[in-house]
Amino acid sequence: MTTVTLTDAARDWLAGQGGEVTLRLSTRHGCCGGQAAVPVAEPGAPRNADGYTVREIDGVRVFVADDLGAGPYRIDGEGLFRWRRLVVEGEMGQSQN
Amino acid sequence: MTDRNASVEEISTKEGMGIFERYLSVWVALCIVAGVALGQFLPVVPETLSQWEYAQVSIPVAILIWAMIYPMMVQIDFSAILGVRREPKGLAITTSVNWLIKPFTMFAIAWFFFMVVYAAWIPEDLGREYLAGAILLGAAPCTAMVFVWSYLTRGDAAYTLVQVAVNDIIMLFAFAPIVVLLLGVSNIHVPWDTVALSVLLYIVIPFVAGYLTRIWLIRKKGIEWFDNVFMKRLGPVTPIGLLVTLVLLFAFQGERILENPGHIVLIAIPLIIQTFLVFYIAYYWAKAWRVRHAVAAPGAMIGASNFFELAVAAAIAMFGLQSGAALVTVVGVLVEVPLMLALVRIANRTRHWFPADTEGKPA
Repeated sequence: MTTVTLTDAARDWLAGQGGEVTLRLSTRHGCCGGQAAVPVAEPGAPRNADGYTVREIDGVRVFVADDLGAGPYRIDGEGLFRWRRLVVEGEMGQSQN
Repeated sequence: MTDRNASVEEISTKEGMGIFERYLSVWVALCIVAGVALGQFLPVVPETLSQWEYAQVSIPVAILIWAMIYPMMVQIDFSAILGVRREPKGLAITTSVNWLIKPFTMFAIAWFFFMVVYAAWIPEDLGREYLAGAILLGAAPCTAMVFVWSYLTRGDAAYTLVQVAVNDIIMLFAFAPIVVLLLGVSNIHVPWDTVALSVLLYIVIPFVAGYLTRIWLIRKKGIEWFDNVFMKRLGPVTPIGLLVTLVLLFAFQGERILENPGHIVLIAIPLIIQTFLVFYIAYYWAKAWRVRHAVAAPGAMIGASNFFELAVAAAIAMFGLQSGAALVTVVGVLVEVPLMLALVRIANRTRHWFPADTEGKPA
């Protein structure tokens, strides 16, 4: 099971964004071929929840992609005022795409 | 080396790259042969293609270059710039090495080899063309492969995203002035409007188009569709565009290669030295500042590797398909993957030089 934690900053911001977050892998393609999957998090539920497991962590509904590794992944919040985003600390994975 | 580190390396190398990218040098070499053969046996092809120009810009070449660069630009998440305060030591090292050191060490090493060491074998005019190509390589740090190198060294994903976003924004403003400065110092005169046109065509337009496409598609279809469907289709376009460009380029370079096949080896030597030098500058600096390995490794890799598509594009736009400058940028592609895999192994074997990942991390 994937280990996921949220920082206070992430939890507080997500509370004002509907209390849901999607944690998944995002593929980055190399210019000479090859690819790497970067763990990313976005506020809200995925458009299609197939392939995700939903968990409740610190009052936030976390949609965790099934292709994520064991982790650990830590979701943090950063930025100022309206320019805020989530950042995921954790190892990259091998893309399943 | 500990057993744990050995295990990390073995897993990384097997998982990280497929056959295509592991043997990129072989495909590049085959493209060189195919291009030279095309130029020799079917010269009508490059002759016809060279006539398709508008405002002195070759349309086939422009299309191929956009095919290489646009997919790389469209996947850059510029919102990652908001994380600029994360890992400030790592970012300071990377930014300094990429923009204050790397272009100038490339220039110095290339000048020493092409103008001094190789003076007996390479005519001065051709040496200056090679120097120009090296300058273009030195001013274009990696923007996409660094994710692969970062993955192979178990790099910090969040930090890698930030350093790529920061690097690409700096590149928009710094690439042209650095190139013009170093070309000027080398007595290589390229009109400002030529430089400006190449920057507009091959950096600004793909950058803006990539950014707008990304924003529009994510709003319309969602980020997962963008990543899993759109980028899955678009991502492989870059290496294909790169290989087709190489065939075309060598169709024009055939005579030069057949006359001086040894030049490829001569050109590779300073590029290899530069790659190791830039890696070690950043890596030892990170070690001295006790930066985590997960930051030090991708931080050193981004400068050691190059944004070849941009260098190839700029060389063709400024000096032409038949130029020595274009040849140098291609030799850069030829040696890229074996060199970077060697650096990946070095980074994985020296993991113990750096503090454990839990040290110095934001709480």
